[in-house]
Amino acid sequence: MVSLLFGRFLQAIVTLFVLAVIVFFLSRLSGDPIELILPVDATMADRQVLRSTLGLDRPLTEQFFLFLKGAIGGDFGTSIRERKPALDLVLSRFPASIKLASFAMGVAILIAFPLAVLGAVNKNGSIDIIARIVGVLGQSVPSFWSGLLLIIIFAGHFKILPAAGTGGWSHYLLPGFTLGWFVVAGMMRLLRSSLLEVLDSEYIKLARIKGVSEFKVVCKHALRNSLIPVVTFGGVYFAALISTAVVVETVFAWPGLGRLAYDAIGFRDFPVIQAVVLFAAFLVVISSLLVDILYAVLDPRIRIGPKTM
Amino acid sequence: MKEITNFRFRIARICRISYFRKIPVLPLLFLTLLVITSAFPSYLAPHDPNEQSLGRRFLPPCWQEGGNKNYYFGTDNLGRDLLSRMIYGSRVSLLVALLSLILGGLIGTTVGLISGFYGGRTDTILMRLADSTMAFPIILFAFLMSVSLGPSMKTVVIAVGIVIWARFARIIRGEVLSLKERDFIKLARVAGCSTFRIIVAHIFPNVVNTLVVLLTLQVGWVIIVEASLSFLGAGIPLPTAAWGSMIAEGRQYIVRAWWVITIPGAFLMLTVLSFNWLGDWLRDLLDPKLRPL
Repeated sequence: MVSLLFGRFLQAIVTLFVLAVIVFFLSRLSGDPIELILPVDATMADRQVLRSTLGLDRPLTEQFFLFLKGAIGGDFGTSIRERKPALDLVLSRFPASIKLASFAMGVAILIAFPLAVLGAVNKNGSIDIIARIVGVLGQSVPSFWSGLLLIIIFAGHFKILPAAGTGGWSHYLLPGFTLGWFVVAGMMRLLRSSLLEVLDSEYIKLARIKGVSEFKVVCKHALRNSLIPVVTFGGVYFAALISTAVVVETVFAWPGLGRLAYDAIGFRDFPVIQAVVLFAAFLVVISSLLVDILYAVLDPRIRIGPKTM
Repeated sequence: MKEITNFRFRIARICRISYFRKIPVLPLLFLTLLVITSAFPSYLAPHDPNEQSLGRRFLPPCWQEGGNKNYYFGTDNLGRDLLSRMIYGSRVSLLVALLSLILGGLIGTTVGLISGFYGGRTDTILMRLADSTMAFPIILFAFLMSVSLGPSMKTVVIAVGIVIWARFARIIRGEVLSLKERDFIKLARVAGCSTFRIIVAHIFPNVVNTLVVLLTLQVGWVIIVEASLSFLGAGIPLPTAAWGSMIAEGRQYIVRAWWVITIPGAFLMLTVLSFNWLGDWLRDLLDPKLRPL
């Protein structure tokens, strides 16, 4: 198992490196970064000074190594708009995003799990039909639209929930639901189909014959085995969560990383976008690693390794 | 007797087959209509989508009071006809989806075929690369690309293609791995087929089923991504009509003109729903192993 984790760790490094290469080359493709920073009436001498300060007159590979060194050290350049180090901006917005994401994940698990379990157990029953509708709708409705609809209904028409910003716990509700909606659909479909497969297997039949209570059969035996595919997709869901968070935070004016990226796009603030993308990739990679560890914990076959099977 | 049975018989047979094969008729009809309207927008759209008229701002949809049958779904904040903009917008969405799926599908399938067939170190390297790109948050990545290359259809297509190819590669590779051991491949080898011929003429046709299902399953997602990017300003730039940017523009007028947001969004949802429904049906028909997706 250690070798497996080491392999995953290497994988993580490779991912970050590939992304760093892409980010670096994209940044150089967008034309002269000097033009973005300096005011229009800067003289040629000013340009030359800035160019050598930023190291833009050195060969490309050397620039890349400087960029890498800076990135590892935490220096992603200075925000063009706010003149603060880009990483500081990113880190200051990070807690807000995490709070929203955790709320959304909590909501998603609370809704998806019971729906999936009850749906799979009572296949084609009324709950199953509701579950399948939720699943299909959740993957078909774009999050910005559902967010806006929720605002129209709950904040505009009924006026019971705030439309935007942070404040009390009530501010979490609308954005949290919008963010969690997509995850609910995916997770529920996956868990339900996985559970249906597991419930058909031999050892479940054996447990039933042995007289184990249906509740225990489903919750203890079937559920544990059906969680494995869900966990496997965990890393992909996390990336989807980050993507959706950008949209949701923009719609609800939530002061998180997504909003930061959106504002940066408006101002073409490249260092900030660079920092957000790399930071997000870092988060995704870490979460994938954690998911792989969790996978090994859940499935003893992974722990022991293929040879002893 | 003969005339009656001929026509009604055919209709009845179509209905019977649809019912028993569970062909999703509704989404198929809707999508056919959509594809036809997006292919010939200039003939079907009642007005020019970019024609502004400040006198006609915020006309409500025709079924509400103040509505005008000429402007069926109403007008937006610049007096542009919503229906025409939606027709042109559907073209954008479908075009982006088509192009990026072709790009991602081509790259992904090729990589999957090579990786699965040759195995060994090529396989490991290619799959590591695939895993690296698979977990990028697509929206952030497209942001990056649109800031450096400028927002345009090309940027969106490339960004989506880069994130999507790995999904194709992984699944096709799995299929190839299981096909590789089959007898007919070994027989083809013995018969003297070159590797290229084996891959193209023998393995690929067996992989097409999975490929088609994957393509239809991804279309809905790609359309949502394109709409989200246009909404956020990193996708198709204004004033080109795109469903996402139409909704973004209408956001400031939520209370005053609810139709500017609601109607394009509803059509977006119906389109994605139809594609997902169709994709699920195709998957159950052609390759049920993909059910978790």
